[in-house]
Amino acid sequence: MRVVVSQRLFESFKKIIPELSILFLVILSVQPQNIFGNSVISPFLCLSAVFYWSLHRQGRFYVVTLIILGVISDILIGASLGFTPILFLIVFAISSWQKKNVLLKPFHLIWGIFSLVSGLTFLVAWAITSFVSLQYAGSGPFAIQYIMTVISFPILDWLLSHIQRTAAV
Amino acid sequence: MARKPVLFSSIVKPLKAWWQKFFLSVGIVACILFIMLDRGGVGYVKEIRLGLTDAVLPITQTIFHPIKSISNFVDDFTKLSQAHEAARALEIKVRDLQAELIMTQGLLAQNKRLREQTNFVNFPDTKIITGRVVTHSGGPFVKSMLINVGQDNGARLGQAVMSEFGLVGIIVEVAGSFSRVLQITDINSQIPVVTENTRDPAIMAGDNTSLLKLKFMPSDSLVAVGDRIVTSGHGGLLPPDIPIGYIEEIDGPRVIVSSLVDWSRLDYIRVLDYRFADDLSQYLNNQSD
Repeated sequence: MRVVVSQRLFESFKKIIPELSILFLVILSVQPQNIFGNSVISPFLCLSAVFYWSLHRQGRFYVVTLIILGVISDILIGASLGFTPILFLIVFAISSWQKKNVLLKPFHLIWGIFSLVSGLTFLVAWAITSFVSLQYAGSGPFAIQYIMTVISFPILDWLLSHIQRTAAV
Repeated sequence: MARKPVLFSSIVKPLKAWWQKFFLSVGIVACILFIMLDRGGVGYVKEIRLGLTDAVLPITQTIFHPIKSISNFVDDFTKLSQAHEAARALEIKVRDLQAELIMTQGLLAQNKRLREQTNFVNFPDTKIITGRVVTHSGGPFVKSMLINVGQDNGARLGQAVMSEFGLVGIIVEVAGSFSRVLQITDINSQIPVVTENTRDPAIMAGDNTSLLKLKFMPSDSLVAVGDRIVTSGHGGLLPPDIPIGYIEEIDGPRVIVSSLVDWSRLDYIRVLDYRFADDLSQYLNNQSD
C-alpha cells in the first residue's frame, strides 16, 4: 500500500518537473549573490527553460501555469505584474506552434531557432520597459542579457535533457 | 456504402487546440491589462502585489536556505587558506585607521565648536535600521530588491537605503516584514544631488545599467572627473550629504557617475529613518488641511 502511494506521489512529482525547474530558475535568478558571481546581469535562464519544455515535454504546458510562474518572477524582480508572463507566453506560443517542425532538427538548428525566438522576446521586453517607464530604455543591458541567454542555452539544454531522461518526464 | 464512424477524439482535438489558442490570447491581453493597471498605480493592484509578495517570499527563502548554507560553507572553506594573509592585511589597515581616527576626532571637536559659535541649526539625527537583501533582480528590465526590513521594523515609504559605502535606493513598497527598494540605477529613479566640492545641483537618473547619469547640471559647472556626488537633501525626503558615487566620465553635457555600491556583493543594507521627512510631510499635510 505504502509503495503504491509513494509511487503515485513520484509519478505526480514527475509530471510537474518542468514547472518546478522553471520555478527553481526564477528563484535562482533573484538570489543576491548568485552563481554568476560578480556579473550584475545574468542570463534569463527561465526563458530558456520555457522554450525547452514547450518543445520537449510530453503533453502541454497550461497557460495558467506559465502565467503563475511569470507572476512569481514579476513579484520577485519587482517588474509590473504581467511583464514576465507575456514573455513566457510568447516563447510558449511560438515554440508550440513550430514544435513538429523543430523537434527532429539537429541541435545547432534548435539553438538558432531559440536565438531568434528569444531575440523577439527581448525586443518585446525592451518595448514594454520603455513604455512602462515612459522613456527610451537603453538597449545595451538587454543585448548583454540576450547574448548571455543564447550562449548559456546549450548548457541548460543539456542539463534539462539529462533531467528529462533520468525522470522520464 | 457504410458511413465511417465519427471518432470522439476527432471532434475534441481541434476544440482543445482552439481552446488553448483562445486561452493564450486571453492570457496575453490580461497581462497587458495588468501591466497598464500596475503602471497606473491602481490601489488594489498594489495590494495584490504586496499580498502575493508576502506569500511567495517565505517559500523562496525556505527553498534556497539549504543551498545558500552549503554555498556559504564552501566559500568559507576556500577562503580559509587566505585567512593568515587577510589577518595581516587587516592589522595594517587597523593601524592606519587608528591614526585617521585620532585626526577625525580632532576635526569633529573643532566642527562642534564652530557650530556652537555660529548657532548652526542641524538636521535631526537619523536612526539606522540594519537588514539584509532577500532578492535582487539580475536583469535589465527593472532594478529593485526586496529587503527584510518592513513596517514592523520601522520602514516607511521614501526612506533611503544605504550599503556600507553609498546610497542604494529608496523604499517604494512596504509590507509588514519586508520592503521593496527601487535602486538608484533603475530607469525610474531620479534623485536630487550636488557635487561635493562645487555644490552644483543636478538630478541623478538611472538607466538600468550599473552607471548613473547627471541631468540638468548648470552649464557653467566646474565639475571634474573624480568629483564626489552626494544627495542634496532638496525636497526634504532624503538626508543631505549621503555619498552616491564619483564622476567617471564627462562628455559635453553628458556626465556619467559610477556608484559606490558593489551591486554584485550587496548583502547587508541600512535603512535611514530620517525624522525630518516625517516632520515635513506632517507640516505639509496640516497646511493642505
